[in-house]
Amino acid sequence: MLQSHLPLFLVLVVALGLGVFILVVSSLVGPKRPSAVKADAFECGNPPSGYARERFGVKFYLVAILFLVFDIEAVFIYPWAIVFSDSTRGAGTLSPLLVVVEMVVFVGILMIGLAYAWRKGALEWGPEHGKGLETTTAGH
Amino acid sequence: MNMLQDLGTIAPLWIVAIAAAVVLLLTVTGGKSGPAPNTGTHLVMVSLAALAAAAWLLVGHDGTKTAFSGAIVVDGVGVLFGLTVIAGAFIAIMLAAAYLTEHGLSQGEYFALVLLSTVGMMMLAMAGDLLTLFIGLETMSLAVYILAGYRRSNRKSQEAAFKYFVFGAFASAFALFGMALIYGEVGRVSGSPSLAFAAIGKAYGPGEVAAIGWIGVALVFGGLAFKIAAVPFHMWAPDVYEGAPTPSTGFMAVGVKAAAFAGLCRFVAATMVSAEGRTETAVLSIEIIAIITMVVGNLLAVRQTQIKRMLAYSSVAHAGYVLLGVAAFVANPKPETIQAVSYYLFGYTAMTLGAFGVVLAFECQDDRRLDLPISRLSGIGHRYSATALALVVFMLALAGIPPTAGFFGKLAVFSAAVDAGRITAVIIAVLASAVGAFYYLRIIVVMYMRGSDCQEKKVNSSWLAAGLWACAGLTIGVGLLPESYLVFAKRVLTGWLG
Repeated sequence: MLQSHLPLFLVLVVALGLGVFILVVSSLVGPKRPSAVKADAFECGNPPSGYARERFGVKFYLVAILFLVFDIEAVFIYPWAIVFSDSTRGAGTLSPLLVVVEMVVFVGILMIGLAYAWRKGALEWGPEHGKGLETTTAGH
Repeated sequence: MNMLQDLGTIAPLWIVAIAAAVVLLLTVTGGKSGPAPNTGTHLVMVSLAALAAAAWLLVGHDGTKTAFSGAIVVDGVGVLFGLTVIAGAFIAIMLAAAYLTEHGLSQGEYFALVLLSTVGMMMLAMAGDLLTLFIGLETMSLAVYILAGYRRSNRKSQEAAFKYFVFGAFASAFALFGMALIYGEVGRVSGSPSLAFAAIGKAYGPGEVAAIGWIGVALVFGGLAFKIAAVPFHMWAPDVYEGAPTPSTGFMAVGVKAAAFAGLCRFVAATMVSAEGRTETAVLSIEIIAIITMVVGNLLAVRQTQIKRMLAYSSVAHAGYVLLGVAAFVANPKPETIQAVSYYLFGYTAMTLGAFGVVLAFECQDDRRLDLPISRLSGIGHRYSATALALVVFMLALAGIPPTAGFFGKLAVFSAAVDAGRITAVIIAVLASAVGAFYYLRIIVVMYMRGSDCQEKKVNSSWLAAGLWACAGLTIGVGLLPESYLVFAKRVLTGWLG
């Protein structure tokens, strides 16, 4: 039991040791020439502008969630496509029609979600739109 | 066709799920000038009709049916606990209809979430393997997290949702890790790893399971114990119960608890009950948790001045009594014990939702506070005699005084524990419920004997009245006629544990 875990333990020790070694040696041996540019925050190579803790429109969050939903849907369709192509060649136990119907049900549920979000005004971008969300769900 | 048969077996699940989608779409269909006003009797009606249809299918169910290669098992446990969560959702929706109108909150999303959560609860009660159990657990929980934070402009409600979510995610992680350990251990013992309860039962039976397998069992047990708010996993309960909107609190206290107990019964039946040699240790562990839960719950409830916090600790204490039933089931695996546990939870559903319904009727309209101090109930016995009388019924039932469902539930569970030879635990349980009687009866004293000048305004709503009547009727009806419930339970549980 413990014998079989020895390689794992060795990898752990080596990984930790290497990390510590590199950090210690570079801080001892490396040249230090600090400058204002080097001390700046790194922003993909552009000169940093503004403060990072700005307030974002909450709509970005909504868009991100909607994106996530449909992104996952797309991811699910890939393994489904493999099952479907197997079933058309008679490889699996499922009939192709059933496989298609299952995907229609899955996409249908997501369409209901999209219809709901759309009518709720989650896709409206301007300030005068999207009031459906605020007025109908605002509490006291 | 096989597929159609499977779909027929799980009809209660998809009927409720489709109703949730319909309710959601109904909230956004309307005139040209944007979505329709987000309230309305039709939303309540669709939700209640779907729940009634699902309940009707479950009542008519006979024997044991499995679907999707054993992932879903509709048997006695599934039917009894499924009906309990449906009853909880049904009454919670009626209470919510009154609450949401009163606070100007949108109704469609709330009902849809209650229905979806009910689907998860039924799935949990009908789980045939650990994976279905986990999916049911998460479907239930994710919806309830949102229900806890439904008053999102209110800080306390936000706090409740966040706390529940973080603690709940933690508990889910525990359960999932435990399932992984069980999966591996079943594979080591039997040669083919599996999450199905049948396979787990076979592997855990002969007593060859190593300590790591039992650690897995403890982790899954802990994850479910969080949902039923058993000590020491109860820390979230008072804050979340206080901050969540009152109908959500009631739904959380009854539905989540009943569903988690259903999962727990299935889980212990597969692991602890079938194991040779380890049963005594398992019984003792559950019994100790049960005793700590009822003692801590009752003692802390005595100190509360806010009624929702008091009911939170009271629900912790009740989880302890039911856990004693689970311990009795492990010690002496008979369908009668499951019958007692499900009877207890059914009665508990009616009386707890009723109590929260009365809280809802008198809650302060002041937005900064979500709770109702017990002292403000003074005098309502004189001014609102019907509602006060209903609260008296619920308090007597929670205290376990005949002829209510609370008394016969306790009687059934405690006598099952005596049958299983757990005399010491039963004595402690009886003493603990005597302590409990103190704080339930105090409410009655405050209502009737502390002055008669009542400043409280009552929420006027026919939905609320209907919900309270339903709760009071069930509390007394199930208490007066325990036979009819038990005969039904006996019929559906026939052949369980075969």
